[in-house]
Amino acid sequence: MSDEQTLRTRRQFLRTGVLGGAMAWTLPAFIEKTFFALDAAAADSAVQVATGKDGPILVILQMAGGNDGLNMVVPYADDAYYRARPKIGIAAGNVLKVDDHIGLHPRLKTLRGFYDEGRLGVIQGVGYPNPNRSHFRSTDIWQTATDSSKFANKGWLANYFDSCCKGEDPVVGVSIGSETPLSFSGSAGAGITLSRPDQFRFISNDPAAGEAFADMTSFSDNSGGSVQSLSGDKAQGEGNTLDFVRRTALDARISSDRILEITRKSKAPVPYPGGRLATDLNLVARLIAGGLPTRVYYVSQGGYDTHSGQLGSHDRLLGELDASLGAFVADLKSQGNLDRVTIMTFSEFGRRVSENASGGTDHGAAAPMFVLGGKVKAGLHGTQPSLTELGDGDLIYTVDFRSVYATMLDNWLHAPSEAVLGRKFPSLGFV
Amino acid sequence: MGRAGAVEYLLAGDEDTDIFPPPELTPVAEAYWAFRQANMMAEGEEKREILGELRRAQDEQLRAVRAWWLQRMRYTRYPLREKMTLFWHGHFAASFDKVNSANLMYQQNETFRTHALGNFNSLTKDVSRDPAMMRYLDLNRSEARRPNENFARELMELFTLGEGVRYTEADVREAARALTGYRITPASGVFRYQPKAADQTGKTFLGRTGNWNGDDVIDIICEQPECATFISRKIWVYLAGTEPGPDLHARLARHFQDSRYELKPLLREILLSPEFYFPQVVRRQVKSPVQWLVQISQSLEAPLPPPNACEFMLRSMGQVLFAPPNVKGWAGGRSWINGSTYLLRCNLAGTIAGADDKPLEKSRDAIPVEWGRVAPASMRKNPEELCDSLAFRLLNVPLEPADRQKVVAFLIKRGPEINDAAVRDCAHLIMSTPEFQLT
Repeated sequence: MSDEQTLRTRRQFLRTGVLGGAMAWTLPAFIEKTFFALDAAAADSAVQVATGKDGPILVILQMAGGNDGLNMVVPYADDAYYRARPKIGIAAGNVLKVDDHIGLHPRLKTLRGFYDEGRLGVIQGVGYPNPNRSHFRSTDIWQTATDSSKFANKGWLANYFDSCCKGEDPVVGVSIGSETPLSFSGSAGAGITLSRPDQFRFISNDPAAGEAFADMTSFSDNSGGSVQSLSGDKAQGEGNTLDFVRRTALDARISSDRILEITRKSKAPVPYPGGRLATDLNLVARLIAGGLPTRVYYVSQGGYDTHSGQLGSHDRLLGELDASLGAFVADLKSQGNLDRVTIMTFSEFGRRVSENASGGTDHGAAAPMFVLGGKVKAGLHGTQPSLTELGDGDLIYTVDFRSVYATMLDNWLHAPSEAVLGRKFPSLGFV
Repeated sequence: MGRAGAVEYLLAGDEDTDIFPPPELTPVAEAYWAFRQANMMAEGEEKREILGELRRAQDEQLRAVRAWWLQRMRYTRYPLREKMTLFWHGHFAASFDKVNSANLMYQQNETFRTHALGNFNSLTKDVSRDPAMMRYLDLNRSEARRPNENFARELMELFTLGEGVRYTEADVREAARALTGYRITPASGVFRYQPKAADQTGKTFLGRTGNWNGDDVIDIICEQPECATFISRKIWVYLAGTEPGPDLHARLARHFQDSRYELKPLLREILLSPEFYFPQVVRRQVKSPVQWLVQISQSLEAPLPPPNACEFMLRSMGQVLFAPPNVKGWAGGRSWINGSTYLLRCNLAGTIAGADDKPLEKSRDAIPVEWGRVAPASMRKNPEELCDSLAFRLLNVPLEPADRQKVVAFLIKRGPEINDAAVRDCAHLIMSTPEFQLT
């Protein structure tokens, strides 16, 4: 019997024998892990990879709204760019050049510096076949890593958590913000969403009330008369809503003590700029410094839907991005954790090549992504799409975004991308 | 009055007998000119100050509009009308963050209220002429020469048909051409049609060719059965919290289209359908933060927390009125609840009840609950009785036996005397149960 099989058998046993089959899907994987830890034989390599405080970390930064990739990574040597964008095109003289054809937006000075230091990779022309121009549908496609014709409820990171971090703590994935991204949704027990760490605990004037709350949100016997209803579907997306709320309450309570402890004691060693994104990245840096065994952090910056008056707002957004990432990288560097972290940006789509009459751009397709970190292979990756051979007025992708995910999974998180994405995608070697 | 009578009462909610005087707001045109003048000033300290001042005034007024609407929801005699007004706000979502005018957000809210139980086709047409929506989706800046697709796309994707249903990218572009010539008159802040800016040539939209204008586009969309399918589902999900089964859905959609998109018959059908009272539906819907807040205040027979506290609470729970996260509105349902928001709901309930760890005299966000009225002496005879009566008040049903046992154990541990503080902490615990998050 292979180790994998032994493990599966033992897991099966714990589920059915110790806790009762009906509890299986509502039992947090975290508690399962505690049982494993009691049994030294269970500590096989598959679990080891995802455990520990020294493993690689992926920070995903969503640029929500459809970032104008052409004004972020500017093909300044191409006349077609200026023909399509007489009003909002960025003058060649202002672009922060990286080679004879391509330059960064003038507000990305810090990132330009990282490029020289060998920390910033630019993946050009990322998209997918049959691009969808709806914000929501296209975001879902990116979050579930499916073909644009297929629908899925489970996020690609949830797939990663379930197939590679089984038996891990719920905090293996931490999303910062008030909403849980679809990429985290549907996992059997991993991934938490955190907005205000100081509120991440039950507060009462009476400690006894806190104990009663802990009791009510524990899994052991709370199911009372409703064990029957818990034996339904395994996916979190289904099953009854009350069980879902119970399960969420339980995960939150289990994680709250540690997160609170970490965020209380660690302070940022470098100054951060104002704004939501910087605050969120600051929190991520503190959680990393505190040694939370998290593999994936998720933050988001909104406002990229620049249909009109794009110049000022896009400048401001990219300026905020640049300053926030600058502080975050400096923070990680001073912690000595920069080599453990890779940051990846994405947006649901780029924007139309031609500007519209309102000084803005409508929804488009392919766009570049940034990858940033101590171990990233800096430089331009992939191929810049043509500005004249377009699909419905939009750039035609040259790199499938799932190749970027696959590279991250295989080369960075050391997880089998085929198992997570359901298919093999060519690796890009940017990390 | 029975179920049918209650439904008819709720549906009668369009009679304007609720009196809630609106907040004082700067006229749209006045604010527009003030901003314009400030924007034309030379860059510098003075300009920044004036612009900052104008923005602060708008923020202030928006907070007043929010407080006004929350009061309305709290005290209205026709809750269904307010509930549907909130539905339309989430459906035809527009945000103050881009609209930048408290007055326009207020006017839009009144438009939603006027049509809340009216006709979907008329509502959609009014929304296309609504200055807040026009600003939010750039319709007022769309020109015949190079139309802006923002509104046209969302009109089909989010407002009427559903993503990719029935229409193609070509239909988006044709509809964008038809929806040109829409302007806001600066002097009055009201809609005006400007033929010169409109594309008056032929268009082919959803397979039909003609010189269509924006209203024609909406009429053609409403002729598609897919529109009735899309809207009837969304309203069912909003009210019931679950997906409708295929038979029920087909029935609702057919009747909605047969009634030419009248909302009352659809709502009546939903509220009187047997499916609406199935156990999978009743108390199986996650409360939105607004529902959570208004219901706490109602169940404790107390006023809402002060406006600033409401602002803070709704923001941290993820539902800022007049600022939905994007044009799709709030995702709703289970997305309201995650680890953070769950604990936050417990803590905010504690704050409202005055059961948190701050001394009561320092807690400005607590509401003055008369605990003696919520739980009179007759209900305080023993811990079980107190727990059951509070559960009935807050949940309308008894607590789950396991939870009840823990709440009772807590009360016993607390000591023999059941004073106001015990009632308060007991209410806090019940409001911290998973069951309380559902309605």
